[in-house]
Amino acid sequence: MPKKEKVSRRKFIKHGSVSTVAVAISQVTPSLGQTTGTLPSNYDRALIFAKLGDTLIPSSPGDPGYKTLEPYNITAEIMKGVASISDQDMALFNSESADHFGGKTFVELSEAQRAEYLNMIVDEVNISDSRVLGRLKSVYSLVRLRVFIVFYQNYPQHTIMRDAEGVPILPPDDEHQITNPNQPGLVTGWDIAGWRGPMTWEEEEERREMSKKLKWKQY
Amino acid sequence: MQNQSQSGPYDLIIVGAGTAGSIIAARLAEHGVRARDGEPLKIVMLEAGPYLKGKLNPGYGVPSRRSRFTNVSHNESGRWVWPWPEAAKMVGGCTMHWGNNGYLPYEMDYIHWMDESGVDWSQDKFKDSVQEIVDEYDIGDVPEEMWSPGNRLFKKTVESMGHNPRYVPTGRKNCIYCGLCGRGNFCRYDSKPNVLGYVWRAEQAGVELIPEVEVEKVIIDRRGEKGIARGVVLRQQDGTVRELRADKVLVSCGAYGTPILLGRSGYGPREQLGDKTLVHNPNVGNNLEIQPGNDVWAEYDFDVKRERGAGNYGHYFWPEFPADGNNVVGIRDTIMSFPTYPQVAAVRGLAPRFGQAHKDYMRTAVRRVGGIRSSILTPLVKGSINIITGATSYPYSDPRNVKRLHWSAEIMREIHRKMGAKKIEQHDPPSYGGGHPTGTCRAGSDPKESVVNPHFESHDVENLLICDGSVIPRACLSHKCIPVSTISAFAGRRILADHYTRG
Repeated sequence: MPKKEKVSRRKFIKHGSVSTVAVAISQVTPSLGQTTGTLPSNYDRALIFAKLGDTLIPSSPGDPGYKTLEPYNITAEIMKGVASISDQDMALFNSESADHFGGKTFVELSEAQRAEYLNMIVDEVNISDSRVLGRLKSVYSLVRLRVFIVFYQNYPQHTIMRDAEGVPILPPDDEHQITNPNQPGLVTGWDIAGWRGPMTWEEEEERREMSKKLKWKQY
Repeated sequence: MQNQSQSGPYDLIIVGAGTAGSIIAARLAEHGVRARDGEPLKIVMLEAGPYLKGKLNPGYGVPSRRSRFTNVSHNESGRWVWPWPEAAKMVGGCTMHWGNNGYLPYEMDYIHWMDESGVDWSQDKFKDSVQEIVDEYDIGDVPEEMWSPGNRLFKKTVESMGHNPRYVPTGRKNCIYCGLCGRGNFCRYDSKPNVLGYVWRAEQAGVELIPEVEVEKVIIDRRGEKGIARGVVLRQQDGTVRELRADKVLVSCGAYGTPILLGRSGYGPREQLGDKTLVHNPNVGNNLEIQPGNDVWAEYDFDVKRERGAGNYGHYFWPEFPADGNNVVGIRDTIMSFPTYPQVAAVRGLAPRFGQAHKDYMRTAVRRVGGIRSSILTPLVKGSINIITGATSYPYSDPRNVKRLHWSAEIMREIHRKMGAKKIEQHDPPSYGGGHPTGTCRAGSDPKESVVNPHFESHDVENLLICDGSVIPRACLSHKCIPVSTISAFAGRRILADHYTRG
């Protein structure tokens, strides 16, 4: 077997080579921000993001987190903002764990192992190839940023329905135009952070009373 | 050009119903007359953004604005949030979203303006204009009851370090202290001072206001090396193009918008406009000053912010003040005053990496995580804006900026340490894209060094007036919105006296 054919798919991804093997076996259609190259047949981009999200913001009984919002398509929302991460880099991120966790890819790891793997990347331990490490750190940083921002911006209750003119659509009986997208019944990032969002009419009235008692000293 | 029609003539077309345009419109409409016959002025004010009407009702708000301004977070504030620098393209302009800190121009600001370009804008001449803005915006001190724990601690700590912290004056009207105004949000309660009061007065005095029209260019006829303004070409939302004619045109589109509009009109540096140059002036788009700054955030074991709402802009001090007033850094505890948005707390450098530790941190971070901010108020570095592309060029990494920001970051860390912070951001903060642009059509006595004279008249184009942040010759210790407002009040008086007074 010629030397180049001994390159495993994982090794190939790891070194990011596109010049030889890719030409021979790739069926991948390059997309914006991605380099061409082959991908493992079990490559599942969405699953890697989902596992990363679950590791970044864990869920447990009575303490909802990222995974709790999967029925609301949070992973699809996350993926909208990280198109710049190539499939090659995501595949590398998934496969590189195999060297350190008995051949298991990232998505096959337990929750504790996934956390250990992320710490390994951040602490720059046990990964000697600086190019590989750089790519892993880049994936980690970008996904972390995106997950935290989306989650703590109160996904999926992060926007207010608006009409064509941009005016929020409110229930007909909401005469005070209170526009708080956060609703009871689903634990979101705002709930975890104790962020209550815009005031209710009752709170506004209380504060108007308080405000009247304050002394304003104009210059 | 399709569907072209012609309207007018007007005595004055004001392009831009933001801070400057609105203040000047009210002054001229209420007090001005046509100099030649004493007749009331016929003024039209044009605005690219929408006009959310309703007489001001501070503390409550009115349906047109209350329904649209949601007080959620910056990216869900409504459809009129543009990326910087056009944060609020609507009638009212920057006063709809500004942080309502009400720093009045300092004596050194007037000295800098006069020294920089020879304008005669002395503090004494501005007295009435400043008082007008203080009254209009109700600028004063927020009562101590509304300070956050972090504000109190900051003041005490900074005093113990031998500095002299002063309270940041703010403009507020019947504020209910919801705490959501400091991040560029529109105020649904009409408590954040804005120029809509001026707009209302201008309309009452007969100004015609046309919103949602884009002015494509100022019509300039060439006269030798100079020009004369005749009106404007505007495009309505339906694509209809109209021409409005007027005796004079006042451009008030802001420090970025004004040079771009002048460029589209053929007025600016020949090097950029090429064969489209009608009138050459190299200063259009140049002499840009902004105020680069940085934040240092810290986590505390105790609450530094209020659980709900917030009150004020905190305190500020200048760690040192050179005799010439240049390169002055202002340090303030503004981000100790407002609750920290969850998504901001989540990604600060001091947050745990991820997992349960991060989640536990997040449960109280909005109250326990706060920052101190510094800005180079009077930088020595200038940039420019390309009047064709709109791209700004500012040398953030100039050593004079970088050195200053590193120095201020150390001071901010020291304050956090003395305040008892548990964890302080240690990275060298990068300068952020500083705000408060000025100077891009600056006023001055020398036509070679400026665009308008101290009376806001173009050096090169007859009947063209300019007033907004672009005419300010130097960045201000007093930040931006109040200087623009007071200069506009001053400009209104000058333009009135120069052009719209009988006899």
